[in-house]
Amino acid sequence: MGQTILELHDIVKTFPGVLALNGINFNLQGGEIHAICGENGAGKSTLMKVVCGVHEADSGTMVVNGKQENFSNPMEAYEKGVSIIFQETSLFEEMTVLDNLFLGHEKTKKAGIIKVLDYGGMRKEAEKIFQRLNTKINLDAQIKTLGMAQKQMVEIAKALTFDANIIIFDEPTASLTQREVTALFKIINDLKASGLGIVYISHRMEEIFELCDRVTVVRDGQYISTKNIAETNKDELVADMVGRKMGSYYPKSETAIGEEIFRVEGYYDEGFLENISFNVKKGEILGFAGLAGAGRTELMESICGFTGRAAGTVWLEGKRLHIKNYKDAMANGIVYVSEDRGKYGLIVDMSIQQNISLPQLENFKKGPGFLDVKKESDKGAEYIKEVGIKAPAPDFLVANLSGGNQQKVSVSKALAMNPKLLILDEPTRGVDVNAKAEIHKIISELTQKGLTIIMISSELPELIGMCDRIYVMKDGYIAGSFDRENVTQEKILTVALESKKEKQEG
Amino acid sequence: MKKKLLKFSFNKALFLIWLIIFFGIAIKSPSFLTAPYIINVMLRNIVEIGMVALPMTLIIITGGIDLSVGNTMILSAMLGGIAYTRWGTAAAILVTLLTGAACGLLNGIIIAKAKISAMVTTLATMYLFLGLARGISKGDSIYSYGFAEFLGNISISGLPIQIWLYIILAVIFTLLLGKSIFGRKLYGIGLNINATKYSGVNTDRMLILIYTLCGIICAIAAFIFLGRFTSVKYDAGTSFNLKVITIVVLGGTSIMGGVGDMKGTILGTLIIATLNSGLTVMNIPIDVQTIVQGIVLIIALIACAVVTERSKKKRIIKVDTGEGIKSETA
Amino acid sequence: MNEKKKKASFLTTEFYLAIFLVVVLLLLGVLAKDFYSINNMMSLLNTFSYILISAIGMNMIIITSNIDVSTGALISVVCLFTAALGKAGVPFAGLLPAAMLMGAALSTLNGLFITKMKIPAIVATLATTQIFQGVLPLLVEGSIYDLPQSFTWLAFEAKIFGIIPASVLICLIVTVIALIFMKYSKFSKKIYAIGNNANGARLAGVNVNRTVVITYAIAGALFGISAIIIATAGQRVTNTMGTGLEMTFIAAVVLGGTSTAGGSGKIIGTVIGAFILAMIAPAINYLGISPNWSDAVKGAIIIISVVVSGAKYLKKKRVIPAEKLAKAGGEAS
Repeated sequence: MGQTILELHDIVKTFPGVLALNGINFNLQGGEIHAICGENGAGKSTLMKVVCGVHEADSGTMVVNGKQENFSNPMEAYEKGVSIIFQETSLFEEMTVLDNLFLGHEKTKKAGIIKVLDYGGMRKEAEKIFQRLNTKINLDAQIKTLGMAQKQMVEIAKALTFDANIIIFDEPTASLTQREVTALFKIINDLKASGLGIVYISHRMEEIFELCDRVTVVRDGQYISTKNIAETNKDELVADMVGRKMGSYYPKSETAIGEEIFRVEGYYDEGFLENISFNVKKGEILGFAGLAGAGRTELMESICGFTGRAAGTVWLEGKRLHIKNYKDAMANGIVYVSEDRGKYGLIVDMSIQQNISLPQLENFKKGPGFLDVKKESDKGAEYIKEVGIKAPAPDFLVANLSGGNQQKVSVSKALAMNPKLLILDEPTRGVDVNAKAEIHKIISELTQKGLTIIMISSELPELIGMCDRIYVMKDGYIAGSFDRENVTQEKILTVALESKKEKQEG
Repeated sequence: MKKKLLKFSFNKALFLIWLIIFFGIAIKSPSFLTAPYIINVMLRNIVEIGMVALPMTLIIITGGIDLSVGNTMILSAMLGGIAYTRWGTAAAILVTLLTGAACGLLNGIIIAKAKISAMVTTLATMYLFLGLARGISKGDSIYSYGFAEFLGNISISGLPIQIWLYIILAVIFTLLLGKSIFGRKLYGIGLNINATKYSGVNTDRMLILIYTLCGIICAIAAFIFLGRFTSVKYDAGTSFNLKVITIVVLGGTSIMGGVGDMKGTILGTLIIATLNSGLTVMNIPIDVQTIVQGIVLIIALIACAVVTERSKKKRIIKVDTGEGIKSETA
Repeated sequence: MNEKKKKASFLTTEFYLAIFLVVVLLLLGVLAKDFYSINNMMSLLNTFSYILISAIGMNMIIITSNIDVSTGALISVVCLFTAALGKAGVPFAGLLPAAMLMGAALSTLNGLFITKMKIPAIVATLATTQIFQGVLPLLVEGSIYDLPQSFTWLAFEAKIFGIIPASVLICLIVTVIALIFMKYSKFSKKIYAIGNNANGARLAGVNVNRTVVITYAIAGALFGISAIIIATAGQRVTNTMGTGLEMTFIAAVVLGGTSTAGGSGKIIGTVIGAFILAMIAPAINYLGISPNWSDAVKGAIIIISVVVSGAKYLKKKRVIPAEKLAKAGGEAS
């Protein structure tokens, strides 16, 4: 390992009314990958935003490459060799790759008396950088035409145009497929080998243990510990993150499984879904595993009538359904909870009760179309209690709740419709460890009450812990299925990954 | 809850502004404070604009805009007037209302189904309706007829009929936006159209409905407009569009959608009406009135920006309390 | 790679528009031969010039994802302002920079309202429209007339080769500079970046507020040039000379394929858009249709073109599944 290139001492940052960071210490050496982990809201992202100049620290010192620095904007940080690759890419969709790489620090040349952009020079340097990354990307392509993984490559290349020796990755694998993750890890390792220091922020334990050299844990804005990866284990890290030892992760309770309640046959949607058939029994939790883009969300959205163009037959309680739109699905007792709370699941600028009533406003009708606010408020209060949403009142704005509690509102909104079949798409994405356990408990309790649940998740331990059966999807078809008794992570991954290779070779 | 409270205080501030303007003018020139003046000058002159501002509020709440309302109104008035000369009153009424509805429907369909931004769509249809009015009338004036004159000039128990009409519509729209299921869906669309769609609301149909409704109200305003002025030319509605939007924005409805209410729009209408008529009675030239109107709008906008900024800050503090609850139970 | 790029950039909105324009021009050649008379061509070019110059400015504003609906009123103010100077005998060489400065100053005011007061552009410029319109009649009553020859020099005497109006030359210079500027300046990249993602631009070190204000100032100077062309066309300048023009400029920009959402759009599209709009009135006239129909045709053309380009986009959307980014909602910072 090289010398120390980034040192943080006692960093304190407050936002109006919130102490976001409270005395954080951190150091990074050249040629190492240093993970920062902690629960959502623990301050990981805020810390890195302080490092790269998005926020300014209230107090504390930062030493970059041997010099004390205090960046007031990211450009300054870039110029001093610190680059960050944000969670949601900060690229400019309508602009070309080349424009994006050099935005804010374009190369210029003299043309007579004026300075003009030096496209030739920029192109040459960009080609060199992509060669180093061993990636081919059309420099004239607009960003919006690229896939997620390619966009990330552009972000990394952008960092390299600054000659960065410190690169911060903020949850880079959140929307990548397994294969893209493997490729990304190779590049990160290459960067490390060439002497750069990498800060790697992630939730995912597996990744941290696979990739990183050291790990620093933060909790509630405070520094907890720094450990060598080789000398620690998952339980220890989780304990540090949560502040206490976690008990059982997945409280799956045994439920009586009844008759078949829902069946799909020969489901087909050109370009997305191929000949899908499956069934669910009453009281069952049915899992759908697969890589990102395998068609799981598309299948569920299609069944619920959001796309309205698939072919195939759907039976609920022995009756054939013809679902044209989501309203039909809801009327039949099929309810979908979207994977993206902020975008599709909830209206965060509305209150809890308003979100719960939104899909079934007709049931809150008073007179000729007036809204029964009292009934709405009662309903909200009922679910705050039943689902355990931590909010003072049903008219509390959803935006002011934590991620886990927002997810509980999302689930309440679905439950309020008295569904027969509840489809949960990534129900615990982006919620912290505590809330995750609570949501798992809620799901378990629901099945005991006789509800049937389909659960999509990208976290295999969660699926294995919670589900009675698991289907594995792959490129729009069902590639395999497992019972609770004989499923392992390895088996699922084998099915999800291997058929891909075959297809490519063939 | 907090938001409602803030909104309420903004309406209160508007009401206060209106009172100050109203009595300020009344003190300066007592002739202003007479019932005939208030009714015949202050209120009658704003009725069409105020009326169209009601459905415009619904549209802006959904994050949309309609730049073609004035032209819709004029086109409806003209086609109605032409229908009258050929087929009589019943046809005139029918044609006027149908024209308004058709114009609104066209806007709604392009915006909802072709997913073209409301501003671009209504900018284009503004030209289209203006051009159709011009082409069909060959640039000539179209004259008023019995029914329009009736709506434009008759009084019932001391109040002109159009003011009664406005009051009825204002009550209906206030209930529609503030108290009904329909209104809740509109707020949903303005705040997050995707999540609203994923709650099973047919957002496309909602949008088409409100644009069509707006067209129909424009047609009703068209009768009054025609009756009041006895004749219209094709370009009479051009400055109308921006005046309507001014009132809605003055009333605290955010142009970004999702925030605002009907009471604000009604207060905005009153403020502009009072300003216009009051400055006239004080013998201040019409041009200065335009400037004053612009300045009032800017002040309202800045006030609104300050209020939202504050509510944002409040929200951050709120997050703190949210976290507090969490750590308590952890 | 090069070939791919060609294919991709080939079938753009601009390309379709150009085809449309060529077809219309050919049809006009067959159906309305007089359309190509020297007189008509020259007057068309004059109209085209002032529409294009302003539309280029409007294009820059719209790329930053803002808009300006006060342009018409602003141009009226500048027209009167220059007329007052012209009446005092100031020659064209003095009028042009004065008009540009005045336009830039007023437009900067818009920019400041939008950035400093954080008012959405459409309502901010709506408010300034009213202020500009109100100020006008205070400056002069009705109109300034009997303007000297030195004032109308641009329209009547300054002809290239004796026939082409000098406004065309001005327009050409502005367009060439704009093309170079939008391709080769650092500033243009900032404009596009802001329109794409203002927050991202801020993170990349772009001073968003300052850039927007400067963009408005540049556009204002261009509006000033248009005002001079409009004002000098006669010996009388009224206070409604620019009324309604903002819609024509916005229409030219939108027709040229610039999205009102911001972040995209090319000058070349605006050139074609401006030409189509300038052409409609004379084309209709020479086709023997009443000029009363020109606005309707304008409206119909804009609707059809945006719906068609929108439909293309919708189709694309259908095949590419919506990207679903994991979003950690509820985090305060």
